Amino acid sequence: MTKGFIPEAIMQGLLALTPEVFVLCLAFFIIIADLILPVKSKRNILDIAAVGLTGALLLTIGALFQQGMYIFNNALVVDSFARFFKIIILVSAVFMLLMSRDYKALENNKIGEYTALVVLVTLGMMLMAGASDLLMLFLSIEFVSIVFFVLVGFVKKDSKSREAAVKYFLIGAFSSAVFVYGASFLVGVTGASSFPSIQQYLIAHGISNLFIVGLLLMLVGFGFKIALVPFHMWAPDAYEGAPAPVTAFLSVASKSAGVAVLIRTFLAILPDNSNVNLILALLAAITMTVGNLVALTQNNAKRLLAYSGIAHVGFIMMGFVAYGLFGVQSVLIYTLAYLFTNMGAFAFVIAIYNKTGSDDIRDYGGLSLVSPALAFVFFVFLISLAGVPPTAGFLGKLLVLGAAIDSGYTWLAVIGVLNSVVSLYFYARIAYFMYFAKEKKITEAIKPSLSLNIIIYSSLFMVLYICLLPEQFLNLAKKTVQLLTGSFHGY
Amino acid sequence: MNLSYGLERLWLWLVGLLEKLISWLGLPYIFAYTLEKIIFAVALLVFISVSVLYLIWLERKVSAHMQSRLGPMHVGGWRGWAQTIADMVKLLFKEDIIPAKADKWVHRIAPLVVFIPSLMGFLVIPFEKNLIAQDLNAGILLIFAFSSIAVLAIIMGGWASNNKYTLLGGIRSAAQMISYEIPLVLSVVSVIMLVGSFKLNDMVAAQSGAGKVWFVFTQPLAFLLYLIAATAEVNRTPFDIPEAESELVSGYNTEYSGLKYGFFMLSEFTNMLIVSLVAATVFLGGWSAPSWLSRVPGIVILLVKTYFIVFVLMWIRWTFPRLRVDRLMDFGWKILIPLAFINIFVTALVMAVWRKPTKILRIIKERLLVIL
Amino acid sequence: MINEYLAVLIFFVVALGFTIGGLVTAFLVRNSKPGYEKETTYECGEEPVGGAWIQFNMRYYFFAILFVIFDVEVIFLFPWAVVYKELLSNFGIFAFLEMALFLGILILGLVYAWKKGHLKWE
Repeated sequence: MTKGFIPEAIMQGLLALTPEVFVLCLAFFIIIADLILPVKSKRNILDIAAVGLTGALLLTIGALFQQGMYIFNNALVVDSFARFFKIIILVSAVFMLLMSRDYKALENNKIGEYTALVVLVTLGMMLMAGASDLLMLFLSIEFVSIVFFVLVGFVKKDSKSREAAVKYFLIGAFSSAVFVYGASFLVGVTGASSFPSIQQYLIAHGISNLFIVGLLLMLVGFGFKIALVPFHMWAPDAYEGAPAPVTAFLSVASKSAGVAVLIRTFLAILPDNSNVNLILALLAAITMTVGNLVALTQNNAKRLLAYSGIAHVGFIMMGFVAYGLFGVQSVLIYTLAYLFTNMGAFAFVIAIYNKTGSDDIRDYGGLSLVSPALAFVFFVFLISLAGVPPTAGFLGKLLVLGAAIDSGYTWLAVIGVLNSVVSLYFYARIAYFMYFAKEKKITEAIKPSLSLNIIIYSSLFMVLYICLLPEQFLNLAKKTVQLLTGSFHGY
Repeated sequence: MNLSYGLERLWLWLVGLLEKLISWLGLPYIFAYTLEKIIFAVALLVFISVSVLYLIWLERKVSAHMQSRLGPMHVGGWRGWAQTIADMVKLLFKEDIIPAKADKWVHRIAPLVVFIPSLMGFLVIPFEKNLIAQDLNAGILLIFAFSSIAVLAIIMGGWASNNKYTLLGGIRSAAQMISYEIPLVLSVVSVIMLVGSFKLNDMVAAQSGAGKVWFVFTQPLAFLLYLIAATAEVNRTPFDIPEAESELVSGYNTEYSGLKYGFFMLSEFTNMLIVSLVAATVFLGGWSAPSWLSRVPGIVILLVKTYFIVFVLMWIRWTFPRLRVDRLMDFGWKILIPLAFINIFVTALVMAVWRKPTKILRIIKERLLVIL
Repeated sequence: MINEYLAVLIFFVVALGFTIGGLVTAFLVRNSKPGYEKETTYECGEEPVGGAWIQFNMRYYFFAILFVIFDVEVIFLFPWAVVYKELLSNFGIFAFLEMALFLGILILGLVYAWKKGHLKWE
């Protein structure tokens, strides 16, 4: 009583989770605002949420390099690694809300619900990034998945949106089941559910085959979440059907959260990854190749970006296969680059959709004539996706390939390079339609709204900045990884 | 021998005798335990059957007198006391009809599912301090758990009959029962907070003795909520939409006849009994009585309280008209549940502040000084 | 010592025996002459039209889902209610604040459903 109303341990945990608590309060505030505000002014809720999440973002950035610690009986860990991914998630959430402001398919009376769901899913992903207990991990993944099922099917009038939601739901539910099944093996073998205790057990008793089986089943679950190749079937349909802002959010935030969880789980649980590394490397190679090859024939911009997203996950996995300081560091940079590049590209897709009502890349003809500046910016994002200098995508790819070669996976690096060449083709195809298509579908200048402009130009700035002045970002990633390893003594 | 607690003594004597007998036979204690419980359960069944027979008779008499009629007068002589016994015998001999289109096995099982849980609830009700089948620590939670199974049986009966009236009755009943289950369960939470235990005996102990009052006085709102929600739980007017004789031809049990119908009837009155018993135990002090009544056996006191509540339920039934279905749902969700939450909230707040009022005040003062 | 919950099983068996015994007795003593008229579904004396196994109003599902949500949350209230006194002596007013927060969120959910019109019976 004398020390305040709240017990010490809980207070400590809550303080470490200040951004999360803030986001939670924001979500409730939005729900209440949704109930009170009249239908006309509901679009303002999006602004409130964007400002609130920016606040949470600043809080997280401010605490980036604070000493990591376990809180709430090892259920969550708060360290720079988690905060780094929280920053990525929050940035993409803010961008996503800005994109939604002008998205036509959203009805005014549903905006409140939509915003509340977005804020809550952001919270879920932030918890995912910090989960360090199988139970917490499962809860947060489920939380995120269920909200995303709803968000994907949010435009109920659109039958594609509904179809996407149902497909995503069925596969998501299945993958959750597989994930829990795998996790039950882990708990069964080690008798513990929090990562530190599992790792202690493994160091003391060694890794059994049953444990590996469980881990691989969990990998299947993660694979569904981040659309690794044999488990990627839901992604193109869900991406195409979902409202475009949700697609952008799904492809960046959900994927980063999945990657964070994947890396955390493997790093925190396994003393070394020699047992599963080959499987991970194979998965990475297949993912890259399939993603890029299928993307070659796509005409729908959202679908194309979905497949390109699958290919990018392959690259991220390559960095992860490399393990070690350098590997994780390259993953961080790659994710950061992917965030800005992809968000920028999606902002364009939405801007063009708002104008023409079409997602087909063959309808992009004439863009370079009516608004040349915009077309050039789009081109920059495309070459960043392909990994051509001087863009962030290039730096990311360079680091990932370097990490792979560094740890002896030269064959994987070769596949990666070949894939980059393949991917150039379909990114260049979009550029081709913009610049050289005979049919000029777009005849008026495209004027993105203020919020889209903010996204486009800030993304452009970051994309160039990350590549041209990489020093700070490399240092940031390095420091983050060092602090991560600092809190995991086994590694 | 002291007159009071006679039945309790008899029971304890019987238990002692049984245990001695079993150990004399060289059998493990589990046999004695099982036998005790079986005897208790059979005794309970007899008690329930007799009670229900007379509750039905009472219901008919009460309703008749409230409407200036006489009710059953002939069978058995005095005021038609044997009327329901005759009815039961008739039900036993009546032909059992299962509609050709019905889902036969579900139709057959439903009466079992409806009656068994209503007996299970009696497991934890203390008729006197030691006159209790088993003082489980889940206590009142067990009663709620089992009483909620009745919804299943009603849906089963309604669905399996493949009859429009029964289906409507069954689904409506399910919607109503699940809606009113929440206030029912919530209303008891405040009492549990005050007692700190699920055991009904602890609740009785918290209401008896010097300086303690019945919870009906300290938790009047909870009692009211409980009574209303309980009325709805047992599907009685003004909440008898599932049965609604005049519109649904008695709802989910239209297609039942013979003893299967009898079981539905039996469990309906058993549930009423159990709801009243819980109300009497939780809010009216159970088997405990003021000191000037200490010579009266506890079980008599409990039953007097119980039958008083049963009478109130009948009184309500024959006084109020039936609610319309939308009003019924509104009443449950928009009035009872918020009230139940407010009750919990206020109780918790009062308990928190009351504990050390001076200290809290001092802290508030200090905080204020710091702010100023 | 014997597990206390054995009594639940014993009661279950006795109740099962009672009900099945009753039904078997009735089966033995009653008359049975089934016929077409008797076995038709009751529809106030008319020939029944169609079956009853149809889709019914969506409303019922809403209430079922609401019930599940609230019932689960009420279950969370019970353990707290039992130890509330102890919590008060250990943690003071925090025990109250914590549950007030939980209750607040619960009530917000109710208000939300209410305002959005999900509690309206149509």
